[in-house]
Amino acid sequence: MKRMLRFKHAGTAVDKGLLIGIPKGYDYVDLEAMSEAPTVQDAVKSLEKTRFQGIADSMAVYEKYKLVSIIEASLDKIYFDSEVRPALDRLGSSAGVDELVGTEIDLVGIKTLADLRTRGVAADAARGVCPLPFYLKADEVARISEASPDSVPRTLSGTRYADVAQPIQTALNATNDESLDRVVKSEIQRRTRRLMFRLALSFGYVLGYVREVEGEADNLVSIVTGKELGLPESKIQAALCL
Amino acid sequence: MSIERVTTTKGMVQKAREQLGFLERGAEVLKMKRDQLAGELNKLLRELGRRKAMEKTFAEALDSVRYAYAVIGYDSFASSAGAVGVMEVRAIPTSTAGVIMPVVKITERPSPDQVATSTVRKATAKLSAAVEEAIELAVLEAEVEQLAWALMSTNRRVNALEKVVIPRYKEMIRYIEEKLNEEALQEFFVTKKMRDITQVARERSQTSATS
Repeated sequence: MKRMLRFKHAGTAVDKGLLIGIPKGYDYVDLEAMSEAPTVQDAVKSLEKTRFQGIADSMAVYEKYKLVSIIEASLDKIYFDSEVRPALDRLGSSAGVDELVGTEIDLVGIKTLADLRTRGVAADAARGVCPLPFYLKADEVARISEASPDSVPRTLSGTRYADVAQPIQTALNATNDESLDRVVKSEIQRRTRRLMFRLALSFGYVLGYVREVEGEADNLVSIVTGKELGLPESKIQAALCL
Repeated sequence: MSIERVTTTKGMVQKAREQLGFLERGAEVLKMKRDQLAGELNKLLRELGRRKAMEKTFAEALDSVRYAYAVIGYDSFASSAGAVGVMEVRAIPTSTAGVIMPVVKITERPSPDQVATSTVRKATAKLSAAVEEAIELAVLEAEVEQLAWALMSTNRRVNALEKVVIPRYKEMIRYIEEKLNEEALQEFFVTKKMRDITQVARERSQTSATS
């Protein structure tokens, strides 16, 4: 959906070769209809009677800022708020799984806030498309959303994500190539690895294992692509989520 | 035009003088054009040194793009790039001192802010700036090339006029005038001779009449 929306936002035809193949029966949305919608607004309208109908709430902010990332963040919000959290509740209380999933929700929220704010989106609009925080308190989220990029370490100090503040601030700096997505993904992987020691023989371990495999696949892509493009070893290392 | 074949008449001199005047005025105008072209070219030559800096910027931008490819893979990179429109440019021909030169206006700029992934966004911003600089430099180099050709051609024409055509015309005018003077002198002497002969003949007839 995100990939299709990007093409529609740019006004170009959807490159079907770039869409992730989903087998019939595993899709919740009529992706064909969405792909054929002429505009972003029409594509969002095609999601009206689906579990992603909440995306329409972000259209006003999208129209104001004309950033397709706003709709993408809204999709993430629906995924975490309407799918992941209810699934967590159904699994019953398990501190390990809560921590695995909760830190991911919070870190994605921090990333979304920081990313949208650097592109000029107002704090309240950015908060509106972020997933509901798990461990972060409302005032902490408000502080993060109102902070400037160079005050991220100060903003995150006192929260459980203080140790990732400096890498986030570095990634927000436009003069270097550091990726905010990579920083957040690396932090999620690091916390997962630490937690897995405590989650043996539980569902949390399975979740952690799946995440590790995903991370490994991403790293493999980075290594192969880096080698093909002739990047030096140091650059390839910097691209990995470790 | 071979001088020996020129008809030596007053009309010819007049015509040649008119043509010479036209050629001399033309040479002056071409010299002014040459000076203007040289001035324009000098102004632009100073900016040609930007190429090294542009190449460095481009290399850095490409490094960023390669790193972004490595971080998220080709597929995700291409998908992220899908949010950004294409750059559109319009080439407008303009004229400077009669030389047609290209001016390229960027009518549509891709907005790097549209890219969701931060690493691709940074690479896009660097690459967009590098491409714009490359376009500016390409236009500058095309302008220099056009001006240089025009200057060379104008200079050749000025030299041809000053060193070949105008001197030939002057020589031709001088030759015709000389010939005309010669003919006038010859006519004068013939007339004088005829007058003398007529005078002698008249005196003789008068003498024979009185005797």
